[in-house]
Amino acid sequence: MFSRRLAATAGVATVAMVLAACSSGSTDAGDELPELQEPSGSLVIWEHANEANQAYFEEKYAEYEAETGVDIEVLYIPIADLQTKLQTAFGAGNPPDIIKIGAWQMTSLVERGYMSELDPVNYGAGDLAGFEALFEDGALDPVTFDDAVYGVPTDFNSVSLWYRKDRFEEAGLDPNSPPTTWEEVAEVSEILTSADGSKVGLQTTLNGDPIWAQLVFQPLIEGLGGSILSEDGTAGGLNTPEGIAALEYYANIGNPDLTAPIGGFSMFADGTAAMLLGGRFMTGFMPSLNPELVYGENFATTTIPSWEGEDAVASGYSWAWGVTEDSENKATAWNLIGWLNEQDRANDQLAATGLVTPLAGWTDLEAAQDEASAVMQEQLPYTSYGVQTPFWNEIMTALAQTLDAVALGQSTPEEAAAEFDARVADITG
Amino acid sequence: MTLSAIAEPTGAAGLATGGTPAGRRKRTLRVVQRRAGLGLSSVAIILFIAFWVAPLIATLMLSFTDYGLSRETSWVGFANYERMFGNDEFWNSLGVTVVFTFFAVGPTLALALLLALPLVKPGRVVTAIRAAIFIPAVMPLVAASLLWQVIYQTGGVADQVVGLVGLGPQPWLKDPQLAVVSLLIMVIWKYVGLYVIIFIAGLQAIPGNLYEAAAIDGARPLRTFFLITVPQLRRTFLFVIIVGVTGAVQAFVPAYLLTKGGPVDATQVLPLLLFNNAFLFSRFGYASAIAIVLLALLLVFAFLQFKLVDEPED
Repeated sequence: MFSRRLAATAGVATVAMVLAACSSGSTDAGDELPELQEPSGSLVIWEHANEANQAYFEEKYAEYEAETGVDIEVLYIPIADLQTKLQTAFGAGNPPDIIKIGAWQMTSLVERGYMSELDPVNYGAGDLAGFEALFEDGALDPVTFDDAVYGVPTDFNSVSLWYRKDRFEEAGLDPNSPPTTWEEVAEVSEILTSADGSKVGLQTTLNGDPIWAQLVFQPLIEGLGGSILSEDGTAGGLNTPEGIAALEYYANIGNPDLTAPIGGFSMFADGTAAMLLGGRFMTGFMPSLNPELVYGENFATTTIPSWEGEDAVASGYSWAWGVTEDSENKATAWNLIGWLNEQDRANDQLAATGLVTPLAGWTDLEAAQDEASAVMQEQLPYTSYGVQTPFWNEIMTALAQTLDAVALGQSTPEEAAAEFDARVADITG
Repeated sequence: MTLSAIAEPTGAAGLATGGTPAGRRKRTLRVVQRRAGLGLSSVAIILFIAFWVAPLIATLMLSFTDYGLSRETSWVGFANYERMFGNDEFWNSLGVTVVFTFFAVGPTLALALLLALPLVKPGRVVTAIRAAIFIPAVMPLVAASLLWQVIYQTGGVADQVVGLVGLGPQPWLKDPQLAVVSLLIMVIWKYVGLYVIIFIAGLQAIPGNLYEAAAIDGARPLRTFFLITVPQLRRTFLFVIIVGVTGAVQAFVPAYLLTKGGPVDATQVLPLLLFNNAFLFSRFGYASAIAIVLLALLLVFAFLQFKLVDEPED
């Protein structure tokens, strides 16, 4: 049966190869502005399943359908399967019209010509300059490739330190004075960790997950002046004094033996972990996991810690709305994306889900009048989004394994760092 | 009675050659038979070629390319195979697959046979026990894996069970060695019921007079088991070993859902390595090379099993 599965995969791949050969050549969408079109027809949207957000989007899609007569079909896909499902859909030449994916995974799709360049006219911005003016400085970086914009950022985050105020109080710590340096985080973690290790201070966010491996490790290594990858993304940077020091620190974060359905998120929600690195989405996400959690009352956030005597570096990432190159209804697709991200709806979205659309002046929105938004805004000037590379999945999977290896004591930081750099060379070579 | 048996002339007429009317009828019948056979099997042949042979050939061809969906594809000769055989990750996965297969199939079969022996005889209680043992086998593998994910979480059922003997919470899916064991426990639980049913069918097919003769000769139960039951189950063993090994070598879902191949590649079986390279890293050429090696491995396993278990004369 497995051989058949493989064979079917190969068959799909063969067809995709033929299709790819037939559709080679790049588009010059940026040379001439498309015409403004009335929304019509139907759209298929794929986005990752998230119970906390689905109700909001269902309501908005229904509104858009009522306003325009466009027929929308949405498929919510478990986040772990989204990339795989997209790969097969693109390979078979049958992708949806609109996808919402992590901008970090967009590079490889853009490189293969799967994504269409932004249509600012049908988005409702007039032209590219008008579109760029709608967003915060730097917010379009994660969706810009070779000076062309391919997506619209949403669920935009700068990762900060989240902490359980109730756990701090229980441990006799001041819940209004969270740690500000990594050294302090380690000290406070020790106080917050129970003797049997079942309760911990700072816990890793999501073991084995590539994006969270990058988001958690990046502030540690870049805060010391190092980097996970070289600027051109072809060489690893762990086998350096900064990389090894960051790995040594990482090896002592939390308890790697603890298991929960969604890792550190679940542990933070049930109080097992007193601290976690997370994004602005936590204000909506945590209460969805534990209704007793109320932002500001029993959990809060503060800016990402720095190393003593060093400048802080935060990790940033964004999800993005994009339109596929194979879509037969691109104009309507961009129109819907523009409609979803108008200022009023950006406000509704933030209020309902905690997801930020980084429009210029988004912190002035009514829903952004809270400390979490202020913390994120404060961090943006020193937020790093990492290196764009078409090998992102492979390299960050290797990073996740490297971090697991040091956390579980399977490798020393030196061994793990050398192995990671060798793997990056193998992957990119 | 078959069509050929009806058509076959008997006695001296059977020696008639093409010149006689009987010979001509025979030839015509044979042609009709051949055409009918070809016609009836053509759908199966077309499906077999379209969904097995062609993809297999395509996979073999892809294994000599650097195909990665829409990137330009070029022939790379044996580069994928060289990379694979020089890659620690591949050898680790191969080792994990072999260990996983051995410890998934062996204990499952032994346990299944032990459970099948007292469940051979009919009876209401026995039927109820058989049904209960079979339930995990009919449960979808994805559902079973998700269930075990909950069982293995910190403070979950698994921790509570070991807590009964005074042990504290265990890193079921986080410790590299324990994660393999955890996967094996889940797989054995899932499949033992299926093999119990197969062994019961095999045991019921053993002629009762063999046991009667053994009893008359004064053979004790253990001797009867090893000298009558086990040899008589040879065919059943062959079947369950082939099915078990083939399934275990291809096992993908448990590792994918429970551990994603971790921690630190400890449960990264070959099918998962293949999947990651194809669908996460877009290295379809390299993944195809892994698929070919996996196929070769299965063929070797199947050949060895036939050699070890099959008898020359049945």
